[in-house]
Amino acid sequence: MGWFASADSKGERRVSFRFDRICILVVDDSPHMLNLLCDILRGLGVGIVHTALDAVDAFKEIKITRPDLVICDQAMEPICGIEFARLLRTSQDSPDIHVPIIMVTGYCDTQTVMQARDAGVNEFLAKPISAKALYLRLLEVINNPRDFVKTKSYTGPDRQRRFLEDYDGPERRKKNGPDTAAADALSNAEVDALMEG
Amino acid sequence: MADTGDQDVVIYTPPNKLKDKVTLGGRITGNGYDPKVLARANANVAAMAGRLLKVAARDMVRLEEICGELNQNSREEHFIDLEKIAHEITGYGTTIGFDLLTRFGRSLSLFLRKTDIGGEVKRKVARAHVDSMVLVYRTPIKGDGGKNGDTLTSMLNLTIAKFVDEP
Repeated sequence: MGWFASADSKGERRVSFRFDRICILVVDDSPHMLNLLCDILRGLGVGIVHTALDAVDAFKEIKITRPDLVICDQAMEPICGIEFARLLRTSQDSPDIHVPIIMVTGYCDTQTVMQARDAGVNEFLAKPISAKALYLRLLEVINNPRDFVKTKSYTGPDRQRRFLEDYDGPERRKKNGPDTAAADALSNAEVDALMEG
Repeated sequence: MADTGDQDVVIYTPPNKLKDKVTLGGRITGNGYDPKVLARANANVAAMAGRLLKVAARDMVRLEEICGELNQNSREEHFIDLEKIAHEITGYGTTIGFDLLTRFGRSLSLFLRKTDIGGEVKRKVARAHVDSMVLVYRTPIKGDGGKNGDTLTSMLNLTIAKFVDEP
């Protein structure tokens, strides 16, 4: 796998990230979606792509292969993607609580997005899957990593995705303790922002 | 490393292994976006589309079979099977050029997962979705279907509303 370099229409040289150096685990109980996601990742040049058909297998794979990123479907059985993410973030048996998680979901309703966010998911990818959307989420995770937050009720990337410079209101977490942030509902705009990355 | 402003909250920056690897420890700068890389991934998706079309053909047959079984003996397992297939179709519909399959698949999947409606109304609404999806696939109505797509979507919505509202 070479060092990907190309020039855009203005002649500016672009150097791609070396995805051939990373390992990604894809978890989906649908073999077709699994194949689609794997084909996209291989097209993007990802060096190693491991797969798992359910959360239990995924835990084993993570222990053995130590992936740099996990992509998981939300609607899996018997353990759904949201519960899987929560276990990965909080379980004492978790092989890697920091591993970035991109959740693929066909359900973009507020409740699902909030549950996934509160389970510690880094990014969302709405179905139908496109190569561009997955590529952009991958770059988002790499280019804009978030701090990690541990409270009694939450472990995962900071759920406050954007720092608002002109915000002069109270800092909820510092003022009221950790549980208030999780209890707050998302506005439609916030859900849209999460889905769009 | 940790923000100790609140005893119950620990905020820290974990090592960014991912970025270190893809940038060779920071030697590659920029945001990493490269249209050529994306073009390769898109080519892979296009190659996959042929296989997914065969999957879609099988799924349409299976949807019709389940609806036939629902007509004879409506059981919860049938709806579970329908939801699974609809969820799959949501995922690959647009990839194979059938945006309406994704739209109707998502609608059916959400309806079956979230609704409290049961009995005959549930069966009729499921059937209306399946009929619409089979029509889209067999016609075929590619992309969003333009005016035909809008008309079909409106008809499906009207049908659902009628079933749900009727006493």
